[in-house]
Amino acid sequence: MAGGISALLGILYALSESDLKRLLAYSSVENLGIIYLTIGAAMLCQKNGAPGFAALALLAALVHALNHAIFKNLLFLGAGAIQYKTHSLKLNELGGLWKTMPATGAFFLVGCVSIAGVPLFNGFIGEWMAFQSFLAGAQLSHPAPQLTLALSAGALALTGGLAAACFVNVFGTAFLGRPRRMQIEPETKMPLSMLVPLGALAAACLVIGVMPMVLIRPLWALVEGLIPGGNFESGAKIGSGIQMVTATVLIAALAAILIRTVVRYAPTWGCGLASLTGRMQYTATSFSKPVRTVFQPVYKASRKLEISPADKPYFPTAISYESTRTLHYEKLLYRPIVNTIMTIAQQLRRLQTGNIQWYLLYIFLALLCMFLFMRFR
Amino acid sequence: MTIALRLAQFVFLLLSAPLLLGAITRLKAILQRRRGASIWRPYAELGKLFRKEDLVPGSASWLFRAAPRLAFALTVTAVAFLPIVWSNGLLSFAGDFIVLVYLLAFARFLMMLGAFDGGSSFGGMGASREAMVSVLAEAPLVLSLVALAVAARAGSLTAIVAWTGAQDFFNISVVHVLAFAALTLVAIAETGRLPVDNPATHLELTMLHEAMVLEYSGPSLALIEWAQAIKLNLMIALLIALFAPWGIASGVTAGAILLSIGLYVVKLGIAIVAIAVLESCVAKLRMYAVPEIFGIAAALSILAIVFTLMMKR
Amino acid sequence: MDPMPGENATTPTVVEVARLLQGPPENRARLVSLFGSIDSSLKRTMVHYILDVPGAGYRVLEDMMNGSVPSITPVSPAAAWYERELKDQYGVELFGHPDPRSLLLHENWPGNCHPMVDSTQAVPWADEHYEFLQVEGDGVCEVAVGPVHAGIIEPGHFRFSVVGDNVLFLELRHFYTHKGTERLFQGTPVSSGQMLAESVSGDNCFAHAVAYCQAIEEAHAVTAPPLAQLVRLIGLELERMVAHIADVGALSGDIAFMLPAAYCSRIKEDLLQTSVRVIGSRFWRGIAVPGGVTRDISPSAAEMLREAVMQASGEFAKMAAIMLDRPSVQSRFEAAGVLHHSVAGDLAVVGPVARASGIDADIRRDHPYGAYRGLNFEIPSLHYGDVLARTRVRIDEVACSAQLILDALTQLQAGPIRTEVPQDVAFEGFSAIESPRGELLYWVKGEAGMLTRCHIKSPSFQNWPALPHAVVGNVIADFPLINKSFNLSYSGCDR
Repeated sequence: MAGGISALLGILYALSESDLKRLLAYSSVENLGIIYLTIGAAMLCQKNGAPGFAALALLAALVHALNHAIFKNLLFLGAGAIQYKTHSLKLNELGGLWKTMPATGAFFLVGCVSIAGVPLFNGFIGEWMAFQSFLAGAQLSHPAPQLTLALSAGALALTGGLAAACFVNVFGTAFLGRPRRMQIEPETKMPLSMLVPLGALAAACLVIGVMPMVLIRPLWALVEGLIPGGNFESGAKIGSGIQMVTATVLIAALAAILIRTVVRYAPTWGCGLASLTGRMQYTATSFSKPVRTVFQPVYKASRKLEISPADKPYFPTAISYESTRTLHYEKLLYRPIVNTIMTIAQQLRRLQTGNIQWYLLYIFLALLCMFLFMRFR
Repeated sequence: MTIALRLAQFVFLLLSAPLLLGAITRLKAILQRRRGASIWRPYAELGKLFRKEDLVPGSASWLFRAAPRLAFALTVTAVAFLPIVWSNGLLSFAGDFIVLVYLLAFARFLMMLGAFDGGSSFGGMGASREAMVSVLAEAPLVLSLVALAVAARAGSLTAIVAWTGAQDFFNISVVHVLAFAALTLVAIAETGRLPVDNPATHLELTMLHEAMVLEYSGPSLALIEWAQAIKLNLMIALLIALFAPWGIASGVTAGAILLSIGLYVVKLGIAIVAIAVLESCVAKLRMYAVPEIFGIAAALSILAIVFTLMMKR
Repeated sequence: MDPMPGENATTPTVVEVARLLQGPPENRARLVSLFGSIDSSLKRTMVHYILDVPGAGYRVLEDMMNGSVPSITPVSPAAAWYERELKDQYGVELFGHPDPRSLLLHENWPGNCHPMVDSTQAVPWADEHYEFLQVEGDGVCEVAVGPVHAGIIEPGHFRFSVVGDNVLFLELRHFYTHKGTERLFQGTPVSSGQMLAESVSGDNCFAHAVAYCQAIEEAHAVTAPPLAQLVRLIGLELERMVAHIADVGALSGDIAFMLPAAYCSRIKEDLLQTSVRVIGSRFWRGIAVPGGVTRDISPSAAEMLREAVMQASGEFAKMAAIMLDRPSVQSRFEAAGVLHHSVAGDLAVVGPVARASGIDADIRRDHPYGAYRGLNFEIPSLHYGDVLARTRVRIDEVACSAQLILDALTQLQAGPIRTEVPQDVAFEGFSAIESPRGELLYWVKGEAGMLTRCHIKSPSFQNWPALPHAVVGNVIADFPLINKSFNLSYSGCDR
């Protein structure tokens, strides 16, 4: 339960954040929430005599933990690359970065799609298995855990939706469209040593997303040791299902791409205006506004609109807008966690020495830690 | 033979989607005492768009053109899970309905990115509204499907449909009524129909879906519109399959299949009339009243789950 | 007390105007119009102020320009656009104007070419600068809408500053359809001026023609025959009915409630087609001429019109009741786009928009003209100021107009329909009427059957600056609805 709430609040805060690094930190809170939610489900199933589903849930937790490690590292490294290039991580200032850093953009996109938890990418695998384990409700003996599991599905769905919105926002505002107010260092080329780890992690996202058995099979051995009695059948079907879907999507996409088209480049439609400024694009804050309005009670935002001169309301010469949030939950719950993650991220960035071996070592160490952590849980 | 049937119903769902739109539009026109356009007009529009050139904003990346194509493919794939006249979908495996939901989510994800890539405020505006709707739609959608899956003790759509089809028509459970209500609300919002979104509007400031795709033209727009029509067809077919599957063919006899097709057309006709009448007698909701619909849908689907669990005991 | 900033900026006239415009809302005068002209005998540029003084009727004040004009905008914000127009047309400097950006002239027009005094032949393409106000703050972005819109709408530019869907600030930039009509009037014969007037605002063309003709008659001290005045009243009220029915239908269409929209279009079309059979023109073009009207309404045509109006008003009332009964419609209309009474007063808003914001003003009753003299009828007025109030005012006015037409039809008696307007005299005068959008005033001046100056105060020019105040604080998705509930004319405003 706590996992579910943590996941929801984490992603809600992430969504309202316009600083990329803090946003990623909040999203880590969300993903940890998902993992705890799933582990909780595993424990519930185990206690109520459904070891098959318990094993599935635990497997889901492990898969998601590993996947999260992959795409979150990818995103943090990507954020570092953005800062390297623009000296800014404020989403409201970025824009159109894909034009200046095409490779980073492509890898970052893979990270964003993965974390949004959609099929064909690795973020979906864990969540899908989690959903399936939540279906265990019918086989449990008590109504309370049954209901908890079913509602967990709802919480996970809501979190998934919010995460998708959040990372559409991240990629859309930073990489797509036109530049807003940032300064690009045209001279700085992204060093290969920064691109290669990004590329490797992005490839991992894709490979696991399309061929999940690569990850599931070794982890299954781990789970079998922890929860005896689970059967591998439900897990094994994941791979074939995903592959069928992948094949269908690819065939349909190929058909759609093969349609003969004549492409012409034209300026963005500006309603007849000669030119659009960088201000005439939706900002990250604007994008998340409708969702934030729906979840208003969580944020308790206060807005201030100042019009000057105050004695001439019909003829303002300057208007300024400010929105501040009083984050009750944040201070209590997340500040420590977020700060920790931020510090780690800072360290990570410092570790960007540019040496490829070092990067591979980091990733290897991260994975190793993950395995060890899971083994001795 | 059966694989041919499964493939046939899949293709039928894809190709009949524009006709469904045309029929609804025509019926609405008749309700307004207008003559209305031909029910085949959506095909003509698609044909026209496919022949036009694809205008791409100079600031856009390759994603701008890839998004509608991939989104179309994802929507098409989602249709593959549906059984409509033949009791098996083209694809079927445990947990496939979750995949269906998330395929649609991925399609929307891409379209939102495409909107950002257009580089105008309208795209962002439409995407942000679409995000609000999709964020809120996912939970009740998944919850009501979970309720049905738990009730049927089944993991795939085909199995759920088979279970429901085996029940007595007059023995419909309260779970079905609740889940049906929840799913209908979600379907209306997901497909951008009234009272959530106005599919016929030309006012760029009021639109949800249409504002998001404002920058698109030519074949890209044709794929978007077709995908949108397919999505409506998918949602209606999903509702029919889940809540009124009776008559669906499971034996390979010409009689059974013909009966199944006939019954499906009747069910579809009822759905078309219902949509046209509903859309003729309501105004579009205030934007911030839309979340209330999802609140109701979520509440209904949670109730459905509670009743499912009680029913089992 | 000297309300004007700047040294030696005041003149006695401006002091008097400022005195009249100040004070508590119920006692102060309303600014009706402000415009310039060139006095050919004195070779001087004049500024004219027309005020509506409570209890004293219209009052015209004139002042001679000495190169610069002291602005009265700090006293009355309603004057802001008029003074900017004055600056663009005559090239005068404004003292103390808080917003002296150009209004009529866009970036492509050289800032030193003023169309009312300079030649407009072979004007070079310019690259002037126009600054929109930028709202500061993290995440604030702009949505630029227009001048080209997605529907069949007139051109106008709206610059929204938003955070998400919430509108923080809205600036208008209109005058894309500025056609220099006032300049075109100069040198037009009095006898054909109504044709130019008819083309100022398409859906109010009869109101413009009648206002022009009345101004000419006023300036020449003649009156149209009673029958002509009755025919004009019927035409004006029919135009009001058509406009309001179309507006209510369009409001329904804007919230995607298509059933009333479709019915309203049909009712409107019925009335227009009846107009063809009754008077020979859908929009009553070519009917009003200085001195009277060109066509009579025959008894059989009157009967046809009576039936059509009764049927239309009955059907419309039924449709409107159905529409306003819907909770879904109410939730869209209620509390959307509130124009506060004080803002409406400060900006001297007119017409149905003013009457929906608690300003009980109607030229037909307050300054009766033509066949309206001596009539006693009800003016619907509400104080909520939201979209619902503006819709209800229009719905009520349709019923009121229908009644006025039916009453007037019973009074039609054979008689002359036109009086001669004397030629060969110098003339100057004005007349105001209540057009479907509110107070419409023509001020004319000329000699020997030729116009030397014609100023049009159009209700849209007056009401547009009030729109942003009703929009700010709403969601941008409601803007088209709020805009439609004002239903202002672009062409009539830009002129």
